Amino acid sequence: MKLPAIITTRRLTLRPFELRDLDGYVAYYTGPRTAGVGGPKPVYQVAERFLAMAGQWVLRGFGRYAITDGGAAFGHVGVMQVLDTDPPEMTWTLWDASREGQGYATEAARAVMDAWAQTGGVPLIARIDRDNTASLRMVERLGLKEDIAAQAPEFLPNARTFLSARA
Amino acid sequence: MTAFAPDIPVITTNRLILRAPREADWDAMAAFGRSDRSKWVGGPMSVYQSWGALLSMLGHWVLRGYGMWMLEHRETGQTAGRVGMIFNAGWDEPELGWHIYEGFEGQGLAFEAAQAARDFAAREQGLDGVISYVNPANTRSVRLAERLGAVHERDGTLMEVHEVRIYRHPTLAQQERAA
Repeated sequence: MKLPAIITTRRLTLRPFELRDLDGYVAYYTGPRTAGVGGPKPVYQVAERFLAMAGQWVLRGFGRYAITDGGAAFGHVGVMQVLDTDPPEMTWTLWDASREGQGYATEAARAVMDAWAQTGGVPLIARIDRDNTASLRMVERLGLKEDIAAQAPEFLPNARTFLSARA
Repeated sequence: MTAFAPDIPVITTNRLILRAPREADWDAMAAFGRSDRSKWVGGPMSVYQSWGALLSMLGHWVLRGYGMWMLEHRETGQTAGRVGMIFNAGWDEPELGWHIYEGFEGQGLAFEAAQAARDFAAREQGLDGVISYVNPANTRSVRLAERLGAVHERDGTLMEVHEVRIYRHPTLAQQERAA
């Protein structure tokens, strides 16, 4: 395993997904907030994605955490890797607009990136839609540098690519 | 730490081993996703969608404690398909589902696997008398559901396909009475 099961930060607990988190994820991914990440999607596809986030931990020993402050999740954060040949990718999303603007995503992402660095993980990339100004601001706070030469993936054609400082 | 290592039981039948998915299954699973055979289960799928299907299969066991098994063909060691329980958002209740990969159809392997999975789910997972969603245009699956003794109970909607048939499988007690 490359990442711990639970990470605790000043305000947050990052933990494995539970079934009670599904409703919040479905509400997010069937709604307008997912325009920059390929959504909205039909419910059955959203549920599959949710299970897939849990399942990646089994095969890779790292994955996405539920962002919580004690109750059900209000976002996810962590490291995704689809094909073995893809670089591991840092991802973060707040599912609920009312949680924005309070630094939760940055606090969560920084904690995961620190944990990843402590395990000696390879450099991470991040892909952000050009119009996602909130995440583009976060990229600077997290110390990621843009990879100008990188191609946007087909599932996110409008993305800019960033590299973690260890690259 | 169950979140990372779901306890997926192994079931052995005459010709098959029902077991957890492994990396070695990936090529067969991706080939199924690319093929026209996956059209009844939401395909054809890109490689990313197939990978998502593999991960969601594992995540289902993690979060629900039951799910689908990969089918290993005992004679050849090849991956022959998958079978087991699916309970996702949009499903009325847990469903017994099956996919057989190219080269393994027409031998009764789906019947053998589905029977074993149904029996295990009823005895060990508290899922007795379950349903199967079947698209009526998928005539092979319709025949399999009927051969398993399931009856067309009502119609429903699944994965945005309208008028999917919902078949109800007999409970263990009903199977014993019929035998």
